[in-house]
Amino acid sequence: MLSVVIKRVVGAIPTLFVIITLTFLMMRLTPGGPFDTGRVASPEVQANLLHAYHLDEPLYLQYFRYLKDLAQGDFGPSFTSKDFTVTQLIRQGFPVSLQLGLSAMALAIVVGLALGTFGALRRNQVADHVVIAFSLVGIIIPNFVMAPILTLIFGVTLQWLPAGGWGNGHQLAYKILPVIALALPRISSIARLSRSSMIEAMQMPFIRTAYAKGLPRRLVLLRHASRAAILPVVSYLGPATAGIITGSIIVEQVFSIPGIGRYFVDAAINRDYTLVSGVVIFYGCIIVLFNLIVDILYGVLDPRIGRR
Amino acid sequence: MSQSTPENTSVPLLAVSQLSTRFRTPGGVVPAVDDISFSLCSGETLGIVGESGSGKSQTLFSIMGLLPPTAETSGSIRFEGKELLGLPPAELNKLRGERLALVFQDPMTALNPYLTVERQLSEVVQYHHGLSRPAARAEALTALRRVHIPEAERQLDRYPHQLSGGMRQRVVIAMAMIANPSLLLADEPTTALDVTIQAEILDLLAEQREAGAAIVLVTHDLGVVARLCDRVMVMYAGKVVEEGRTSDVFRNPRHPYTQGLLAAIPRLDDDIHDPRKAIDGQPPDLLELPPGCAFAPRCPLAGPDCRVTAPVLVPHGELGAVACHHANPGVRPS
Amino acid sequence: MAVDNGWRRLRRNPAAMGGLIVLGAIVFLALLGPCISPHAIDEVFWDRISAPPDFDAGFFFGTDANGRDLFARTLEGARVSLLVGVSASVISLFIGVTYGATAGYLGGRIDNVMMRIVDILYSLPFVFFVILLTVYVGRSLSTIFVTIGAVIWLDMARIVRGQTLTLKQREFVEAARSLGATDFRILTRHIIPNLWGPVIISMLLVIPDAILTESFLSFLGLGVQEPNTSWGVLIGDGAQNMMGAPWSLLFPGAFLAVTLLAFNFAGDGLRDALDPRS
Repeated sequence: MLSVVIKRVVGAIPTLFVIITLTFLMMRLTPGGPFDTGRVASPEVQANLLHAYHLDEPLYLQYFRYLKDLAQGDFGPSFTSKDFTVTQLIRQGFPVSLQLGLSAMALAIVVGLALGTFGALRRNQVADHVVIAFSLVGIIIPNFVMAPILTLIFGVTLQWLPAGGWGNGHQLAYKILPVIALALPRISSIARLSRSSMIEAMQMPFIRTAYAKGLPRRLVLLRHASRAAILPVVSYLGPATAGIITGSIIVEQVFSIPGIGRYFVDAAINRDYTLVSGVVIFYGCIIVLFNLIVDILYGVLDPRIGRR
Repeated sequence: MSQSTPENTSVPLLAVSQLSTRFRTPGGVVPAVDDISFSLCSGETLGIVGESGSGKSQTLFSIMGLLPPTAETSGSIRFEGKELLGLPPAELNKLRGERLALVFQDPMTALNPYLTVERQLSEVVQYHHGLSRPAARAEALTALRRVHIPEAERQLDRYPHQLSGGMRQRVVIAMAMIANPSLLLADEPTTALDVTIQAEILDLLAEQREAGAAIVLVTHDLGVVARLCDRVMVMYAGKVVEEGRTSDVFRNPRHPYTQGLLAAIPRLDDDIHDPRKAIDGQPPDLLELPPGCAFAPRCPLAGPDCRVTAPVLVPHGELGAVACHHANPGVRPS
Repeated sequence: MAVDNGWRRLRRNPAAMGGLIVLGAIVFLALLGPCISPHAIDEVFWDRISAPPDFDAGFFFGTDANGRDLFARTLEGARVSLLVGVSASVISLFIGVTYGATAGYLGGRIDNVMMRIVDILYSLPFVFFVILLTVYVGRSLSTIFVTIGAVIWLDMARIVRGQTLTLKQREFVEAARSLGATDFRILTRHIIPNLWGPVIISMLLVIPDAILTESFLSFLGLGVQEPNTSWGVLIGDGAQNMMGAPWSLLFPGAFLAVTLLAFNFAGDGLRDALDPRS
């Protein structure tokens, strides 16, 4: 088991390097530096700025400096928010984004699995068709349409829930709509996936064995089918994490939630190079980390992988 | 070989009568099992023989109630005096695994790859006998020892993929026998295995019979039947075409299909150029069965009558029956 | 024969045919937009700021917060969104087919390395790289479809590689090789022309992806910029304006959803039709 973990961790390292290197190269090799954003500065000032940010050094030196700083958790200064470093901004926004993301992920897994299993057990009946239709809705109505519509219905028209904001961080009412808006597309995907994997699992020969032993349907499902059915869902959790992170940018924007996503969008609009690069690398690390956890979880759930 | 017959016991352990199983498919209704009847007493072994698609496995699944929802079953299956067809699922579950058990054909896929051997064995007695986990584990160990698994204790905590094919089939048999069922149904239990292991598994089944279980053994291998079964039933296209004591049928096969099957068994003194070796042609498409005898298109003896009326099963002698217009009256074919 | 069979299977699939018909209708509306809509896309009606739909005056979808006709703008948005979808998928087609066919044809260690790279890129949050690129390169329509195309070729590369692996075993490739054809010639003359089936299917799957990505960016203000418009821009404006004028969110949103649904059905249907195994 330990060897599997080590192997996965080692396997994740190249991905991290690709993320960092790509980000770095894009930052340094694209035409137009961070300081020609329209504000006119004298050549001396330009040179001073370049020197201050080490932009006058050879590329490989800049790269190693960048790696060294990253290893120390230093993403550099923000180009537009002069008083903050990128690390400070990430540290400020991350708890909020993490809470939003994890809640949405948990909701998506629970509701998605429940819907998918329900549909699979009532295959081709009305309930199943409702599940299929629902999962299609979540896939064709993207976050950035769904989130404003939810606000309009429940926040503005019905006034059941706050239409935006995050409250003081401990008020559940503020979290309901954003979490649902963020979770919906994932609920759809997980429902779709778990429905088909459950149907497939129920047709495995060992399910017939379980029935032949006289086990009631409930036990056959819970003990025998669920294990096989959950594996595709587990491997989907990697892409789901990426989807949640991407969606959180939208949701934080629509609901004015002070998470990383908001800083990221503002930074992208203002072309704040270091902040945008920092957030991309940070998110990249999170996604790599989640993929790692998912890989290990998969190894735990499927005894055929990595055990002798 | 024990020669118990239905006359010895008043009520048979298993009595199947006029069983038919049809599958609804997009192409039409497939009559997989067509009006078959047989009975079995405690300690007796019945072999069901036929090519693939002859309905022999579906007969077993019908008895176990393991057919897919597209199947319709009619007739009667009485087991230990209880009618199985139409039994509520909860009642059926009490019998399955406890009083009657099934050994599957392919041990590679019949075991759950995600659960340990111990878990898959002990859940049977946990559920049926209400045993605690440790008690069930002890039972599981006993069951593994009964099927002569080496280092049984160590195998308990392993997963199916860590065992060889022969070992897995032993586990499947142990799983079927763990609750001491009175009837063991075995669906081609040796087909997926190497020849050397086949013999060991057959010995194992014979041991279970000595322990008192009745066995219905489905196979396409007549050698297996000769070794293990008191009686044999030959099926073709969902119907029984011949039945009788194994020794009688082997000595004097009356149906041309049975004769063909027996002739196809390779022997050491075979003449390689014997034209009579295999039965020509393919088993019929159950969706487009010919009128009359289903075997007629492949039958060397078929006459015009065979293509018009289907022969019925006619009893002869003690326990024997054959369904053929041109049945051999009782002389060994040469 | 395979093509005829595929076409017959496709025609018997009502969801797929419905999807194709809807797509045709949307393309038709997008192309003829300027002729159909009674008002220009940038004409400002000062007396109709955020006005609800009014059929008599020819404002079928109402107007936006600047008093511009939403029907005209939605059709213009369709033009831009479809253009981005198609161009990005054509770019991903070029990269994906070249990459996938090369990897599959060369095989062995080169193939391993090339596909490992695809695996790594696959696990990256590709939308972020699009944003990164638009931040560095600047935001114009062409940047957007080039950057989207540059990151969504991975599926295409995987599919093409798999197909190439099977194609290169076929007799006609062997024949060409025995006649002394170069690798380049075999690839361009014999392998790539035989890839069209799976390539068309993955195009149908890539286009909605590209449209969705563009809308996502434009919604955030990182994509198509004024005076140009796209569904994402309209949805973004509509979301800010939805309290007074919900129609400004709902119409472009509905167009996007229906388009995605149609691509979904058409893509699934085409895949089933051309590849009956799945």
